[in-house]
Amino acid sequence: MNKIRLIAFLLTVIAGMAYPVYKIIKIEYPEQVPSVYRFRCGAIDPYDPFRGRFVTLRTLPDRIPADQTTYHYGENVYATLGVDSDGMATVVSLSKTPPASEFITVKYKRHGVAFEDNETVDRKKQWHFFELPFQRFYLNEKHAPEAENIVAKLTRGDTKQCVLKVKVYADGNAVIEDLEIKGQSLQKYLQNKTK
Amino acid sequence: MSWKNYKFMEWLVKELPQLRENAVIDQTVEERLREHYQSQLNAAPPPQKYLVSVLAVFGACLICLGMILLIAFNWDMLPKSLRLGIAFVPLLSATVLGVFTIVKKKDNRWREASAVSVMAGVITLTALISQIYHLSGTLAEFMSLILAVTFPLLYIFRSYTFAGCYCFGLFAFVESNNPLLNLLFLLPLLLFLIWNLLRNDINSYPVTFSRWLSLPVALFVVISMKSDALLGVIAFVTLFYVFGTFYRDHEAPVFYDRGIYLHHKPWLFCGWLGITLLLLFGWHTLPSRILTGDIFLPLILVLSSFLITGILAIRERSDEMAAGVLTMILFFLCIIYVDDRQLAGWLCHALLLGFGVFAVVRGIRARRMEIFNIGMLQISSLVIYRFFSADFDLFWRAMGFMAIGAIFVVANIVVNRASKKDNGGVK
Repeated sequence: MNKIRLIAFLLTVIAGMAYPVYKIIKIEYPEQVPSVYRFRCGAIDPYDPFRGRFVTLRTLPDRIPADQTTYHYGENVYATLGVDSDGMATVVSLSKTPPASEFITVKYKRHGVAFEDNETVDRKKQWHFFELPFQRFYLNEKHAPEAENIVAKLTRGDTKQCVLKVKVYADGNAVIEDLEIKGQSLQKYLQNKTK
Repeated sequence: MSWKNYKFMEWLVKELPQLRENAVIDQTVEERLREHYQSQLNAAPPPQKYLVSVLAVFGACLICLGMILLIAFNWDMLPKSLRLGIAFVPLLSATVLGVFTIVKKKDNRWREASAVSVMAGVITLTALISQIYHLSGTLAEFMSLILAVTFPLLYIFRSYTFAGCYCFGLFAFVESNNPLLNLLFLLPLLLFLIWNLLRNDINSYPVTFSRWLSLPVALFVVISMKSDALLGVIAFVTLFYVFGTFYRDHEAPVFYDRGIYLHHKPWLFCGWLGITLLLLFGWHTLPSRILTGDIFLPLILVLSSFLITGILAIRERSDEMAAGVLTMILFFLCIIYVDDRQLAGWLCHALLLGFGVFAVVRGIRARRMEIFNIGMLQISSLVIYRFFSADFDLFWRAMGFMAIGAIFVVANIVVNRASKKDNGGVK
């Protein structure tokens, strides 16, 4: 009986380690080298009791012009990636099946008019709204409030000054590499600011 | 008897000299009784044993919580590989503790500490990986992973602290729109609770703890049912009332105490309270709101609860249980089929009055103060509600109140006389 209990316990511990180990292997040792994309973003600062302070990112783009395809709220769809003239990542199209070119999986939000369009006469401009899968940047709790203030100030004007560097893997998974402020890593920017 | 009432033994040992003086027992019997019970009292575990267990478990929980907060500090000044290595340390340490506990067959303090520390280790490992790689994910997704991999610890260590933590983690799913998924995560805890509740020593700490833990589990199920929550409340109130009565009637009938022993009878108290509140206020819900949406599962829950409690009431030949089940069935039918809310209100209050009067009469007949008190509380609640209700004009309300007040006074006189005649007091 004790032997069975011991085996069951060890299997439980292995199960507990399985997901983290799987994630480490997938990210650190991918089958194909991931591409790096730069996304514009804005931010707000909350708190997670298990994972610490983080900056919530409103990563852009969050919409593309609507086509005839219908999606449901919360549905996972595939966003084909592209790069604009400024070198920033864009979403070229959405699809229900994985496309041939580089893509990430996003969550579909809604179909409709963009709020800023309400002031114009043309209500025919419809959009597909979606949410990119990188919403949080974790950092030391002492830096989080300051980082949020910096990002909020910068993104009021030019969203190119606050950029999220993301590694996109061949299977559509994406992992945040760094948050850059005015071309510098956030950590370095904060260090230079305090000097 | 499997459960030992040490308080009763102490009382009996103190009573022995007086019993001998009053020639109830002779000296030989006194000595034999004293020897018999004193030896059991001497062998009783000291109260400190339970205190030590509680302190050990509490200390383990605090250490684990501190570990989680330490990890959450975010040691981003350290290299990634070092942080990844540190992430595995809590779980590996907890694994060593768990193996030691199992191999050396350590007692329940070690088992509780092992289960909680392994869970904390899995939480810190997963949380650190998310932190290092900035992985997104909601609290529900995080908890679903933790609960899915750690639920076997419930059975491996038979840990009640872990069961409490697991129950706490379940509440991360209350926003979920998938009831089957909620049920899947609830199942391991439910089976664990049922396994403990079916033990023979119904007054032991594991069974008492399981009874208490079933309350937040019931709350979780009710909240998860969202718009059908009222059906969930009806089902659980019926189950708690009937099973609470069952446990009360089957506990070691060595020593009757006045009032309600809340720490041993949470079900009975919740059942009574639930029935009272449902009958007082539950009829406000419109039938159309209950019958919309997918009510298949909630309806199965309600009907199953009626069936199980009905069968138990018949098997036990308990008019108390039968009254509770019947009241809830009538209430259920009333809110489903009676469209006129005013009429539904009157019917429910009539049910409450009937149930309250039944409890009062039952309490008097059985010489059970707690049942009598509950009946009086139910009637009083109804009276207070109607006092502030504007359904009748003031004159008739005044007449009604005075009449009921007179009935109370007469009932008090009757009970007093009956207890004096009995000369045994009211239990």
